[in-house]
Amino acid sequence: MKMLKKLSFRLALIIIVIMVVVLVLFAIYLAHDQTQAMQKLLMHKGITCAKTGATVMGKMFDTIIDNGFFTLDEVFDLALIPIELPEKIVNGYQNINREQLAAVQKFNYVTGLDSYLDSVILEIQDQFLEDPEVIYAGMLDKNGYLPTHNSKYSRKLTGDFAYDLKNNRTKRVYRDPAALKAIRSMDQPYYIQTYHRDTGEVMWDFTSPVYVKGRHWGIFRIGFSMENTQKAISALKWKVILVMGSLLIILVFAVGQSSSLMMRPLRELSQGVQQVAKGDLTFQQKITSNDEVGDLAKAFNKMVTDLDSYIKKLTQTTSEKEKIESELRIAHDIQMGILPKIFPAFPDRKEIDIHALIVPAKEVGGDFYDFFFIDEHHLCFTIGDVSGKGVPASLLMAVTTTLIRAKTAVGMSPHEILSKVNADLCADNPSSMFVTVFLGILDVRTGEFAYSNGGHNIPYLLLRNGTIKVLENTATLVLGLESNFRFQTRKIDLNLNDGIYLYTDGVSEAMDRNKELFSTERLEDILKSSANQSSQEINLKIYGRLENYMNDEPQFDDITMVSLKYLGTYHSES
Amino acid sequence: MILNHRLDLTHLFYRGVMILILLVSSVPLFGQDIEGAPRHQGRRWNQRQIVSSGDLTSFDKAVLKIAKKAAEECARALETAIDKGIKTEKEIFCPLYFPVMPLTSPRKFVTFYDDYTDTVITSIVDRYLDRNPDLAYVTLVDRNGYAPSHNAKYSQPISGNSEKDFQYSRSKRIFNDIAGYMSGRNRESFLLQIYFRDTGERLADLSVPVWVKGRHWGSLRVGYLIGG
Repeated sequence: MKMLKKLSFRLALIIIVIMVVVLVLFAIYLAHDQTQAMQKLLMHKGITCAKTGATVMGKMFDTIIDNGFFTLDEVFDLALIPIELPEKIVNGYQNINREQLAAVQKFNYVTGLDSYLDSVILEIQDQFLEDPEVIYAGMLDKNGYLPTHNSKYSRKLTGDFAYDLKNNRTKRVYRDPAALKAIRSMDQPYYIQTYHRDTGEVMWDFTSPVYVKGRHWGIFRIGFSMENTQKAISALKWKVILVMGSLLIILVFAVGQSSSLMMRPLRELSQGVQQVAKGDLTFQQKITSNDEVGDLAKAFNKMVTDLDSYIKKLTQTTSEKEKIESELRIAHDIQMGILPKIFPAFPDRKEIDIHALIVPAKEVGGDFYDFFFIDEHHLCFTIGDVSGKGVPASLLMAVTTTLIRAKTAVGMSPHEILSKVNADLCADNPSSMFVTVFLGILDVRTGEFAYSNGGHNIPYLLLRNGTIKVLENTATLVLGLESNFRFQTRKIDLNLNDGIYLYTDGVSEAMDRNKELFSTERLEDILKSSANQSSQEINLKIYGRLENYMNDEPQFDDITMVSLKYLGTYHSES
Repeated sequence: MILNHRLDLTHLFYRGVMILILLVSSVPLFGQDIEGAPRHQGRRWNQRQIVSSGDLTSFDKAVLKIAKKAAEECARALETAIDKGIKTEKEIFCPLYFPVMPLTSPRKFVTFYDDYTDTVITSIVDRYLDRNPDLAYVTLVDRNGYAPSHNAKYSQPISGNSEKDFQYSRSKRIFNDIAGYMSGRNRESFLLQIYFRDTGERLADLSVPVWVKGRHWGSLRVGYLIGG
């Protein structure tokens, strides 16, 4: 079965099948054609022989008359006298019935012409028998009397009837249907018939008339063995079969060899492809031919080379990229590490309850928050978002947080801090990146809350009675674009248990499966129901809701929220 | 195609042979030879001269006497065979000739009686030939010109040399030249035929009929040169 799948085998098989059909048809045609040709040839030969014999006999009679052996009348005197056979022979025929004996009765011409003919025509008639196909060749007179037969049918009589019947047929009168037909056909130049002799042989009998001095004397008959012709025909058929058979064997061998030879490059290529499929990209196919297969092999080699170099390049790029990304991740982690993450952040300060949550997106993002005490009573807290993502955003975020810490000094109001940071960011910002920052300073003694907004989402004010309010915005612009922008500071007083909720757009713009935003409405609903809850509880609750909302959808942006509650100084006093 | 070609050649060859037979056999078919004389070309029987009894020379008469004696002796020998039951009359007179196998050229024939004549007749005719050195041959032929037993000199076995065989292996042949054939048929008291050879020699063939049991069986032929 595996062999059947081979292309070379199938190709060879198809060619061989076609050739077999063609050869068989050709052989049949050839055998048929040759058989006909042989029969025709034999026919032609028979006619020629009969005519030749008849002509020779006629000429011979003419000569006999011309030379005075016999007169014309004597030659045409066909009267017969029976030959008395010796007693010895007749005694041997005792058990033979009279009819059969009559059939083999031998005669002489009254004129004695037949005995003379014995000495003259026997040699001529015998010459026809030198062709093995000729069974007999002899002359009959008008009455069917055969004066002289061939030597082989003139054997000495033995007294054994069966033997004598077969071997001495001379000087008998033939009146069987075939002989009569032959005699009656005298007016035709030749006559052909199939003759079943009384000895059982079947043959073709050719007859041609004998003329003596222009007069019909008799006929010349010649018999060709059909058996010999049949043998020759069957020998011919076998020869044709043999020749075709050997031709076929040679053909099968040649086709098999050549197809396998021609298919070899393809087979090698196929093995090469399998080797490449196993992963050996260094493999190069040997090119042995200039044909289509050779072209294919060249193309294949180029493909393998390209594939190899591409995979190498890809591996290299991937590893480089991974290296950079991992380094960036580390940088980001370090940056994140800078952000205060231990809560409660100020365990000894009972005046405030602050909690922050940052959930970075997969890619390095730019959200940040920070809080620190400027002096003993002033808590500065900030939240921001750097435009863009990736490495530049991360870098800018690090710069911004550092700048905010660096520029903040005692006694400064929030808009002064933002202005200084803005000026520094604008000074060296060729790529026009910007940062949104909200910065607030809470006097933990009085609850006075001063804030300034730099283009960020305006935080919510959470009143202790459960209502929520959006803080009044200040003149606002993102940092890093306009160095002369005048930021403003607003001030409100926080009562005890009032809180502030700061967030980035990662919260409000979180998306569910249908790309629908989480929205500030949903956020506000949660915040409204969050009175009397701690900062941590609020943050976790909101994040929990967000997770539910997104439900396995990828997080596109950092989610950052800072929640602060003013508990006042009475805690420390109490 | 190759087969066809081969068959065509055979056919062509065959036709050639046939035409050759036709040409060869139609001209010098018979009578090529004269008893005891070398084979010659041409139709010598046209030069045959039959001599009547009034024209016999004394030599002819002497030969005739010898021939008659020999004929009588041969006839007696054949009758003795019948009388003694060695051969029947039907066997002695049977006009069937059976070609000798293997075939010879020219054809030789056996009969029902030639085995007897080989032993008896040969010695008789040889005796006459030996006593008369002027004679070329003395032989017995039947009425169809068949010579069952020739002189020992002319009864040599077939050698394969056709020239030699034609001259010296003449026994058991049917002589189909005009002189031989006519001498066998002769029922008169004698038949003298004279030939003129190209060289001027004259050959004589004298035949005397042989009667067996009152039936004409054949002739005794004697041949001799005239003026040689």
